Amino acid sequence: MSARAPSKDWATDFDHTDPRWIEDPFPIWDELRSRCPVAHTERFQGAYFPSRYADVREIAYDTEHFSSRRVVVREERIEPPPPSPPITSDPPDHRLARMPLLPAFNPRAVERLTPRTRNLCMELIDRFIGKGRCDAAVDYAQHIPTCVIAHMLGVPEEEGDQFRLWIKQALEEGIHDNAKTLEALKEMTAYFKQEIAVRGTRRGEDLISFLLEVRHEGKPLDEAGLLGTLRLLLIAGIDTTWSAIGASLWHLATHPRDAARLAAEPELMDTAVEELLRAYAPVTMAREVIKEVEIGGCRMKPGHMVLLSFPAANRDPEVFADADKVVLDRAENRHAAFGLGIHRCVGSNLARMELRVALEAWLRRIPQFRLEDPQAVTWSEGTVRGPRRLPVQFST
Amino acid sequence: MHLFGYHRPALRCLRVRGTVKMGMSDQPKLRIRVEPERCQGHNRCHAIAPELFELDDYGYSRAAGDGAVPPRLEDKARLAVKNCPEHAVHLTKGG
Repeated sequence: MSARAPSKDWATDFDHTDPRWIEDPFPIWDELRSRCPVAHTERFQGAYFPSRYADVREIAYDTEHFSSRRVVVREERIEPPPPSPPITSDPPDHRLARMPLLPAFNPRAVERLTPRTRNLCMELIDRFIGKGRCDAAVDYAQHIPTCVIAHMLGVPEEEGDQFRLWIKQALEEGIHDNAKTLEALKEMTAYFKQEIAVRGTRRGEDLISFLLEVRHEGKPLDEAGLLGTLRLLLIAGIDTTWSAIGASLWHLATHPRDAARLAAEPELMDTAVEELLRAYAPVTMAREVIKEVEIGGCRMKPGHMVLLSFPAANRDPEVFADADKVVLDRAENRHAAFGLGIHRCVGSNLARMELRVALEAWLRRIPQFRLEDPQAVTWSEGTVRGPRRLPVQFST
Repeated sequence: MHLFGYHRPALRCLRVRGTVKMGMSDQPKLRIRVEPERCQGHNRCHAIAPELFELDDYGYSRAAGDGAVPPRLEDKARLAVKNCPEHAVHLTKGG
């Protein structure tokens, strides 16, 4: 990343790739909520940042003034925006792109993946538990969603490094360099074209085969749409859940009382998972304003982008008591970690299962752990927030 | 919200605090309802109260059976209401 002028004022010149925002965005969002509450920037060819839950919700529901055709706020627009249906689809096309995916990710389908995911977590822990230390992001969190989605798609788990490199190019480095994004998308497209060719007429049980079989009014999905969906499943299935697992482990490493409580009260896990998702929601989406509209007292102009921060909405004290605290037994929790409205994360059941199983396995084997060096922790930039280096120590 | 073409019927979302008349404790007092236009398949309600909700193949929720809430499940029903991100789950009076 080239050197950038630091943001002068978060309300009028915000930059979600500023190192201070990446490191600790929460005080910035608190400041914006009390000051604006919708921030603006001339960077990124013009973008808004609503900081309140109510405004995020209103935009998520409003498909008349806001389009999903661009879901990442980049330095410069990519023309035409690369389609990844259904996340980049607007009504009425959205429904048609989304419905075929839903049965593969419903709770029953996800439940079948649970034993495999648990075994995977145990095997990963076996590799480092004897050393008394590990990088919880690199040695543990990043492998879990990668292996699960590779299994679902029917592609080799061993290619995880390549998948993660594409994601970093498309969603992090690519924010400032469209050529990098386009190169990653091109490579992914070629990869999936080959996977489709391999399947020919002999289909398997995997998600690629399933999508090849989908028919609407007798016709298969068009190839460009199918390739876009496959790219999306790979991208959206990996660094999001990796980030949620990593951020949750970071929280437990830095809040030993919460770790001890969760290890001692496993029945609290489902509620705790929701609270960790609220407090450390990894995914910030985006919309493009397509019709002038006023949101939170701010007139939004067509052509500008909106950073749709579900993480900031989840920290709004108007909706959540003690919004800045992790309350493991928070019983009422209408958090928006998986979005609101028609674009609710298709993989939310899968992500929840992976997060729950990853934390259960970790706490059973490693109930007490702490950061090896707080200075060594690094966080990802941009659209998906989670730790990318998370060295921890433990005695077992 | 224009997307759904109508507003949330907030008045129908009763907040009933658990005082059940003696001798009637087996009679359902509350009924659960899921607005299909609002449900986006978050699966929060079913995860909290699997006895009260059923999911279709696409993951969308509806009330199990006729939606009647047995008194012993009233607390779970209230939690399901208060955890729906889309405000799609409602609890109405009358068995």
